[in-house]
Amino acid sequence: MGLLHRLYARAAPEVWETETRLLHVLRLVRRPVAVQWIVTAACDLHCPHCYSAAGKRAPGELTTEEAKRLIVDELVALGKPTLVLAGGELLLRKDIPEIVAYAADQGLEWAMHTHGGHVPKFRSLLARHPPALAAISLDGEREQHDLFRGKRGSFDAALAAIRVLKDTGCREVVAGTTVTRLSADRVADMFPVVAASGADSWGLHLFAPEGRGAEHMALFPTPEQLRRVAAFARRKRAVFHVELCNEWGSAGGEDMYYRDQPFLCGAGRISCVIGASGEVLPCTTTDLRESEGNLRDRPLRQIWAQGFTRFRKSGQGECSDGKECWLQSRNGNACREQAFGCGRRVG
Amino acid sequence: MRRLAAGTMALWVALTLLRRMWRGDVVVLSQHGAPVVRLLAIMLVFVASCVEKVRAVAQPQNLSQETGDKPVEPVVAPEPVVAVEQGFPAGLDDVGLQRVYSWIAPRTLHWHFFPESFGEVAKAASILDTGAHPLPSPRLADEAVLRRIAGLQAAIEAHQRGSRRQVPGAELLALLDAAEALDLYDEWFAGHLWRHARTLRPAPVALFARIERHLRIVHALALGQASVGPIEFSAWRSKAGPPPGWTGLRVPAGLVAAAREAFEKGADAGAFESEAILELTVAAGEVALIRRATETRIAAGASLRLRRLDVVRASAAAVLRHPALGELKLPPGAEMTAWNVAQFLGAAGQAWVEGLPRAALNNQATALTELEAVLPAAHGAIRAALEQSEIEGWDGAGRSALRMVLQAFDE
Repeated sequence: MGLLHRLYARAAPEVWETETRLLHVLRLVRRPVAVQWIVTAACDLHCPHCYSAAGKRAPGELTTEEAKRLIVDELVALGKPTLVLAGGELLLRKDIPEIVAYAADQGLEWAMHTHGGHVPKFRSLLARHPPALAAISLDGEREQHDLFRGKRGSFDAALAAIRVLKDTGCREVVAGTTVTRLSADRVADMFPVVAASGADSWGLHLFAPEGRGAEHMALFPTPEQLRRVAAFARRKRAVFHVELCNEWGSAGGEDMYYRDQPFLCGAGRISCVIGASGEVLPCTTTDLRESEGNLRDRPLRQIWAQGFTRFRKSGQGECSDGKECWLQSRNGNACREQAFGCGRRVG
Repeated sequence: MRRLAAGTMALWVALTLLRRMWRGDVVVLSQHGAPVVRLLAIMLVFVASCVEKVRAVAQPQNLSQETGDKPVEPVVAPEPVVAVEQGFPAGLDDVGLQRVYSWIAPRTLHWHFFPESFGEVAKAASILDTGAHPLPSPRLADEAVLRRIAGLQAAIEAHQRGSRRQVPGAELLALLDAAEALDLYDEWFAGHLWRHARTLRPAPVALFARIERHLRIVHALALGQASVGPIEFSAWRSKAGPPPGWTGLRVPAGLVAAAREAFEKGADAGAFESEAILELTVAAGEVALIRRATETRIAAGASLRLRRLDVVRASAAAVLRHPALGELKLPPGAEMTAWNVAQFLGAAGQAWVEGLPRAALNNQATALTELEAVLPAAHGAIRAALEQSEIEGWDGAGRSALRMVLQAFDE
């Protein structure tokens, strides 16, 4: 009974794999837990690591009515997963209040990823429909952040956004830092900033060479930096809620030192990403060759049920590897060995 | 009648499944179906693990062969220095843990009581305003627990009043006693005590042993959480915050039993076991390595790992060797800990260590890696370089990297 309890409580990797095989045999698929929508490719910052190469609006972005009908209504039919709004900068879209209100009326929880610069303008929306989670990018101390983001004042804006979100009732505000070769050695200096910001937790993302990031491959941290940041995160968890995000891959039996739950790649399994123009992708890649279809051609329910089969099969393979981040290994950056290879002995 | 209904239902499910497999349809799992499939998967894993166990019992020969392949550590009869309890606390149970977590989460405790531990955070953080982090009123607490809470508060206040002076070992032990009396086990707290012990002479063998036990319990509790579930509500993977109405931390049932099991299997002191280690070989003479209040004689030719909770004593002159640092000469009666390794370095080793932080300031990545490998010998040089570079107005990435490496020693 004890073992059953342990397995059920922790959604252990072996249960996940067995369940995946079972579902495959029974021709069933899990319902998504979260669906991220790249609301727009427009952004007023110009960060070198941006996975979506954001800047101008993408041609053929979904309209307000399409967003309601093709995304919100479909998510309701899919069992109401969390709707994660991202970009670009989502708050540059004028119809966001309307879409959020519509989603909230349907009983959907929503979350957002933003650089924070426009958050104060949306105070009344956030107070009416507080997001369940909001992630605000923080890429360094003031000078480094502003330099990296290409806009003076963006650091102060991010901190102001965190305060507004907490004031308006957002349940969890996450400060998100993308670890690059430039920022990896500075995360210790960032700790006071994040801890004092009012954020509930600190998510350490790992640079992925996607979008504009692909033009800056030299931003990928060195193996020593990966190991150092991972060790730093483990130590700081004693005093602050620090998490290594999924791009880092699994630390195996040592996952408990880096995150609250064991690593599981959710791409196409429990989550997916809808691109600005309606393409349905396994995760935050901008490579349209990975698309499983477009919402304008087929309903999301159908794409979810029939697509992503390569992620749902059991056995070995690029997409069914339960230890590496699919996006990193797809880009030839399998890095978990470097980050966790020198991990300590487990008692 | 019931049998007929059950049979019809099973037949219907089987036919539906066969039809779907035949047609190649895929269906999104329903809300009601999900727990059934999860339970089925759990049962399969459970059965598989039972089969594995039975096989393992049936093949003892293979196991012994595997054990034979592992390197065998030399058996040295330990000589106790000071008797210090090293077992898992007998009185600890889930209810006790829940009681302390109902009162205060350790992360809140640090911010409230030990702002000086956070250095620069203390200057910048509005979080340290007690209005932002009020000390919670005890809930679910009986009179004895309230007394213990008051005891811890008094011990911490006494400690805070004297935080600028050299703290006596007895004061640190009193703090540890007060925390453990409350079933409060915490990594940062233990690290705080260790940092305050840096100037104590002779080296506080008993305190180090107590801190090590405390850290092993913390680690065991972390391993326990990996088995039975986390103490804290976790929002991260579901990309949503805690549910409405959530009021506090919950200790999962069976946590202490799982932690005890992990402790008895050898849970170590975590980062204090694996980081800031110095690997040394005894080149001449003999030294005593004191760990967990147990003394082990290390003769010439043998190696030792100096951790931050260890003490090395030389009753007669002895020489230790490190591949990069060279020789470390210990005079008779010398006592070496991670805090004072540098004072035993030879001139060449000293010069090498002192040159590394400057190289790291100039963004030489290899210097950082070399410093990490000899942190007990280099932490002083890093501190000096950081102070000097501040005076000189350095503000590069190298300085940040040095601070990060130093934290691996300090935390």
